[in-house]
Amino acid sequence: MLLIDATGLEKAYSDGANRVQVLRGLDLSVDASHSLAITGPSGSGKSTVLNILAGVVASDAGEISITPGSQSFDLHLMREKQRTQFRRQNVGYVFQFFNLIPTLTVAENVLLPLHLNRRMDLRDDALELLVLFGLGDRADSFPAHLSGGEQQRVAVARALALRPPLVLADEPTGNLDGKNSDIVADLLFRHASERGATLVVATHSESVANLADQRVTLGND
Amino acid sequence: MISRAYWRFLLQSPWSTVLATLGVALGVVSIVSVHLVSVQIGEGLQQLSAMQFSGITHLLHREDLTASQYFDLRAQWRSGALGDVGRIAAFVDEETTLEGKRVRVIGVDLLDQGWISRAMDGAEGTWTKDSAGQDLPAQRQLETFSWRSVWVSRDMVDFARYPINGILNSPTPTIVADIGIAQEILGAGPDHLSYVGIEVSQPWANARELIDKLLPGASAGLPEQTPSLSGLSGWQVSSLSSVQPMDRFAQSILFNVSALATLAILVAWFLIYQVAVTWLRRLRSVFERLHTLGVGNVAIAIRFLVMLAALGLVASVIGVFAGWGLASWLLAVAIGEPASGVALDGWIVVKALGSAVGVCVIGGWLAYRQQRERDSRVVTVAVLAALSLLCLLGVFWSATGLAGAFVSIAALSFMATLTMRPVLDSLRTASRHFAGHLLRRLSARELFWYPRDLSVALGGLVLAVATAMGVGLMVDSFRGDFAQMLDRRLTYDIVVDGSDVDLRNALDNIAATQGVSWVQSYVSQDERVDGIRVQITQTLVNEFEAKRYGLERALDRNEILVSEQFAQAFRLRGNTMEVGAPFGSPYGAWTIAGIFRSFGDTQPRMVTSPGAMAQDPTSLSLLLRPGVDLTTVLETLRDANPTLRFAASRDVRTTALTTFDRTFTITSILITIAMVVAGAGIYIANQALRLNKAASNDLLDMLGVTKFEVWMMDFSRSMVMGVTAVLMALPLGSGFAWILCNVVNPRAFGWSIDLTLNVGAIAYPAMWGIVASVVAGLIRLGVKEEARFGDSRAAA
Repeated sequence: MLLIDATGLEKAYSDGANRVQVLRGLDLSVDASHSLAITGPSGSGKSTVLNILAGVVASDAGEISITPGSQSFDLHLMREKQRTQFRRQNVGYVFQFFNLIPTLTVAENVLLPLHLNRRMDLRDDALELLVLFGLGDRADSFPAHLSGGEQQRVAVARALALRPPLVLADEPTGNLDGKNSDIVADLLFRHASERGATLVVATHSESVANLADQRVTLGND
Repeated sequence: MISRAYWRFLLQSPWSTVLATLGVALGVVSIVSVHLVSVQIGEGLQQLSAMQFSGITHLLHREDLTASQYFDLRAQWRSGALGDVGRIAAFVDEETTLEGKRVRVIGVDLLDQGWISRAMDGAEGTWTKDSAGQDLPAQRQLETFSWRSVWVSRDMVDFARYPINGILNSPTPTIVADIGIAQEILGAGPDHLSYVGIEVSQPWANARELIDKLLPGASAGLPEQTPSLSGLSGWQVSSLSSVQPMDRFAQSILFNVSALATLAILVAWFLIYQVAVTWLRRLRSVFERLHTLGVGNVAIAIRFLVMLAALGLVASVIGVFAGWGLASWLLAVAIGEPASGVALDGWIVVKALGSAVGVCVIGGWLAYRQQRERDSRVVTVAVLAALSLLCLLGVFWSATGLAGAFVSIAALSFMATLTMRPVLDSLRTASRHFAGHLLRRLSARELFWYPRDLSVALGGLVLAVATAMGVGLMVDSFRGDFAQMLDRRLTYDIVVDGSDVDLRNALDNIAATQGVSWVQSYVSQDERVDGIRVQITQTLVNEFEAKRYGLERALDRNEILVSEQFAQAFRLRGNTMEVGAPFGSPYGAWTIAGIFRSFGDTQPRMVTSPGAMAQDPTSLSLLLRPGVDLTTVLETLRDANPTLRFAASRDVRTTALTTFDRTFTITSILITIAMVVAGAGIYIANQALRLNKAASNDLLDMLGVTKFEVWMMDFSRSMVMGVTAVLMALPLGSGFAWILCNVVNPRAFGWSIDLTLNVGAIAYPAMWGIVASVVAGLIRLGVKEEARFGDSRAAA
């Protein structure tokens, strides 16, 4: 069953007098519980695709449907408030630069999506992720006391805590050294798969891209 | 090119630039408007001051002073035995009744250098006017000058006994003449003198003048040099300010207002510091790149400070003109008549530029230094200790005077701002245990997580709110005491005023008027008691009359009632007082039966039973029979006695309270300005907090946090900020109120105020503090500006 079905996606950005066409008629489809790697050079639109899939921005043209279960979400027809609600309940996101909230503890960062969706029934499960990620004893620490690799592991745990049907990751290993990259990539792909989530990863890294079931390469032409 | 980058940065940060400029401009508005108001009031005061004392610093007197004693003293002075005394002059200064009026007659030595120079130059202007009030040209002064001529106040223009040299500006009937002529007018012998004036060189005279220019009225708070008494045995020495309480009274008012005006510029300093912190954060990457390219840190810092100085320059120009406008309006509001000729002078430019540019450069330098260096805990503790000591000295060591009182307020203010960081650090630790919804916890923690970014702006808001609370408590307490005094004092139904002769002639008629049940007669006159000018009131002090002064029984014959100002001027200890003739008690010493409050009186007052002084009444108070219509009786009295002035006590009360409220209008406006500036500082602090949250904002957006939830987080954070500021302002404001009531007012004006805690005086500023914080936290003026410098998302 298709989770993501996007056709003819177009997106351009304006910067004063300049208009940059980032996506030109992109077609995309991903099966549920599968993983997709989006590769391409800088400026090819990888992050833009993720932002459109998350409903952060709307595409200029094209159609995009996301069907996490029995309900289908036509993002191209939804207003911003509706896309925000969709994202809140169905999407987990991993940033390149971790984006942990510095004033929340590790545990609080992981549990934040549960608080927003009043799903504290998943609390134990989410905290279990921290243990599985080797951070069980750091639950009460603040992000400033963690290394880069540890912070990204927390970010991955946060993205998976709500058991979202769709997980998006923008260069999840872009800010990590080789060893940590491997650890984080492994955790991300393995646990997303175990939880039945569809994973879409934008990456420069060949080793990360090779972990995905599918690959799409964006070009600058 | 580097400078061009800095100027472009200002253009790319329009909202914070405008806010910073306006904030500093408002501080300058406070300083300029108060300076202009003070100059106007000061010029008026100069005209009211007894000009015979120009240059005189102290008065010497002894019982039954004679001319030969004066000449002996003068011989001592010529021989150099009087040390610091630079000038010495004899004076006659008594009151007498002339043409039915109580008139002050002042005799001066016209050969004294001060008088001659003023006569030749017309420098004092106020007394070289003709009867129409026009300035006499210098040549005309010489032509009309006569040793036998006198200078008179406007209400003595018809005094025909001697030719008139010029008109004085004096609130009471006054004649100034040569000593001999004064003795003639008074009917005193040629040997009679009242006191000797001396000019003691003040080592800090130039500095005092400069301080007065910078902070009008400040010299009222500084201790004066007293002459060495070794050559002056047998003489009593009084400083001129103790004898001319009106001068000191007015100077004290100016000082109070000037000190309050500095509040806004101080808060503006905090604002600029906050702006500098935010801008330094935004410019950090620019500085790093410049440094990498080989530009030294000093050059980078200097360019940054020059940029801020330019902002200060613009603010000073705006502040000068806006302050000029505000001064004109304030004078109309406070004085109640259109202010004419409020002119800008060089000192305005100096103060405006100095305060604006100084605030910007110092604030920027401190922010730059803080970014690069850690605070030293040892230094902070040492500074706090020093400030505590200053505060205690200013409060408990009365010799520090009014200046000491304000130094203690300033010390408290700085202590409060220095403790912001430690308090926020503690709150940061405590915030880890905050309960409630995670988003609320998050917004509260974000507030306290970056104390360095917030402490100064929060300090500014705390200071503004605390000052509003402190002044509000003092004014409310003062008003309460003032109203209580009025209620006590205005127990009669009607008060009557007029010349002594008219009152004496109308006394029987008034007593016989239908409806009048009792006429209380008062004989009041200004006399010198032990060298100090005192208003002595003689009247029958029965139980009813005594209650007006807070005494529950009639006065015994050897008892007097004195005002607080009297007790302070005479340094009363215990409840008896020896006073020389003719005001001395026939029983050896007066017993002080009570000390009463006398707000607004510029000189000491004494109330005693009728004695050996002149008997013509100077005023009357009337009690009406119960049930009688006050308006009808007033009409009857006015028709029958057109030369007298009748006023209902209730109208006097209303007028007095209205005048009281109007007096504090200036205070309210200055505090409002400070609150607005503090609000701007909080807005800038919120900008800095938003910079810190840029990455978190992306995450919250990605997590699907709605705009309303974000708004609620901003609202919660602003509320917590406002409530934190109010809670910190409470003890500080109470401290200010206590010092204002128990230290400033007694030292400045001689009266005390009972501090009462009025919920309104606290709640009103608290509410405005929270409103300012919430508004500053919610409005987003520079969204594009923040996005330009704080947005971490980029189109891929």
